[in-house]
Amino acid sequence: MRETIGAVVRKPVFRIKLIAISLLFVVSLIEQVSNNYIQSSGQQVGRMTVILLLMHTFSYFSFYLSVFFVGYILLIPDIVKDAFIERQTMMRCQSRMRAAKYAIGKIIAFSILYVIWFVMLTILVGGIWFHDFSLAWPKFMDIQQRQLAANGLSTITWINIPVGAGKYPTLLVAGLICLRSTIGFIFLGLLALLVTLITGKTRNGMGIVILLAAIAGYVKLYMNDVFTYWNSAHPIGNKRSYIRISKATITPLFTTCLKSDEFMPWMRYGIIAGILLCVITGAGIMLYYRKGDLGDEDRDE
Amino acid sequence: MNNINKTIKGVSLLTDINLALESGHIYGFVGDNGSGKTVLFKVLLGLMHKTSGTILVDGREQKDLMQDVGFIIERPEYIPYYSAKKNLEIIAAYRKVADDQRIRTVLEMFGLDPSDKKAVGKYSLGMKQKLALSMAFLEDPKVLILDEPLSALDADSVQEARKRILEEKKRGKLVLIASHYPEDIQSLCDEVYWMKNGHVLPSKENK
Repeated sequence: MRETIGAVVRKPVFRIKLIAISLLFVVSLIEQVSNNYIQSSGQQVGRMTVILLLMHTFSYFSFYLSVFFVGYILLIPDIVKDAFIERQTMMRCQSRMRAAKYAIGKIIAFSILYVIWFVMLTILVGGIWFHDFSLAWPKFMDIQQRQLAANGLSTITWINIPVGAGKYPTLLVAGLICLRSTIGFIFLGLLALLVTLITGKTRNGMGIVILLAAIAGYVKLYMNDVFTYWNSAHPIGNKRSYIRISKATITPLFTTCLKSDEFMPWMRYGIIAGILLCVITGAGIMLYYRKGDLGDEDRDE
Repeated sequence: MNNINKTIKGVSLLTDINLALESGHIYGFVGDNGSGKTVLFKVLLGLMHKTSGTILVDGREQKDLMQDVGFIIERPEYIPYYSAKKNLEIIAAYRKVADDQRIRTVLEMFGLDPSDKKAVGKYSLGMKQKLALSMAFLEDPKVLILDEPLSALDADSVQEARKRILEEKKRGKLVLIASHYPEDIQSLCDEVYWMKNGHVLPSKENK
C-alpha cells in the first residue's frame, strides 16, 4: 500500500495538480486572513488564532466549492485507478475480496492524506500570519455565539463556526470538523470508484462527484439551503413553508448548512451519515469485485 | 477447462471451451484480433468471470483469482517514471516472494541492466516488453500466461526469450502463449490451439 501511494504521489501530473490546487488554496486563505474583521471591530474582542482559522476554513462551504472539491475531483483518476499496474497489483492480492479491500484502503488513505495536507497548509499560513497557537476560545467567539443564538441568520459573523461550538474544547471541535470532512471525502472517493467500476469509465466517476458538488453548491448559494413552497393548510400569513433540502445534499458531510445550526447535532448527523454512506458504497464496491469483471481499461464510447 | 462460456451483453466472447492443460507443457493459442485469446486468458486468470463452465486447477475448482501465476495481458504494465528495477521492487513488495537478488536475476535474464536508472517511459518498445517478461517471471510462478510475449523484440532477444520459456517448461511449469503469428510460437509449443470467434478449433499438434 505504502509503495503504491508513494508511486502515485511521485507521478508528475499528480504533483502538478496538487501544487496548482494548493496555490489556489493558499491564495484564498491569505485573502481570508487579511480580511480579518476582528481587528477592525474596534473592541477588545481577542485575537484570531491558528486553530480557529483551521475550524473556519473547514467549516466554510465556499472553500469546499472553490478549492477542496475541485482538487479532489482532479485527483480522482489517480486515486481510483492504478493506471499503470492495475492488473499486476490486483493479481498479487490473490483474491478478489483482498483486491477490493486494497482498493478501498487506498481511497481511505488518500482521503486522509488529502485533508492532512490542507490542514498543514492552513496551520502554516495561520502560523505565519497570526503567530498565535493558543487553544483557548477568544472573547469574540463568545460574543458571536450569543449573537447567533439571539439573532439567527441576520447575525454578521466574524468567522464561520457554528452555534454551540464554544461549549467544547477547541481541539475537540477542530478534530471533529476535520474528521467529518475526511469521512466526506472518503465517501466521494468510494462513490467515484463504484461508478467507475460499474460504467467502465473514470470520467463518470469524476462526473458523479462533480454533480453532487454542483447540486450542493446550487442549493446553498441559490436556494439558501431551503425549498420554499406554499402550504394552503397553514393559516393566512404563515402559508410559506420550507424544507431543508440541504440535508439531502453532501453539504452536511462537510459543513453545517446555516449559520444558526447547532454544532454538535449537525456534527453527529454529518459523521453518522458519512459513515453510513461509506459503508453502503464500500459494500457496493465489494459486491462488484466479487461479481464483476476486473482490470479492464477505460471503455471507449 | 470444462464448457467455458463468456457472454457480455448478449455477445458471445467464448463458446464451449474445453481444454485439459498439463504442467511441463507449452500451449500456443493462435488467432486473429477478436478471436477470443485475451478473453480466454483473462477468464483463466480470474479477472473475468465465466458465464458458465468450470475451471479446475489440480482437481479443485477455481472460483477466484488464479494463484501463483505470472502474466502479460494486452499491453505491458509499468510505472513510466520509475526505473525497471524500481518497477519490479514495487511489484515484489506485495507478496514479498522475490528479493533483491531475484529482481536483479530476472532483469539480467532478459537483457536489462538492474543498475540502469533510466525511467521506463523512455525505453523502446522492445525494452518495455523485456520488462513485462521480467515481471511475469519475477516470482517464479507455476503458471505463465503470456499474450504476445515476443512482440517488439529483436532477433537475439526473441531467441533468448524462447530459451527462457523452454527452461520453464523443463522445470515443470505450465506455459500458455498467445500470438497472431503461428511462426512465432510453433517452435516452442507442444500443442497449438487455433481460435476463431470465441471457439477453439480442433488442436493441431505442433510436431
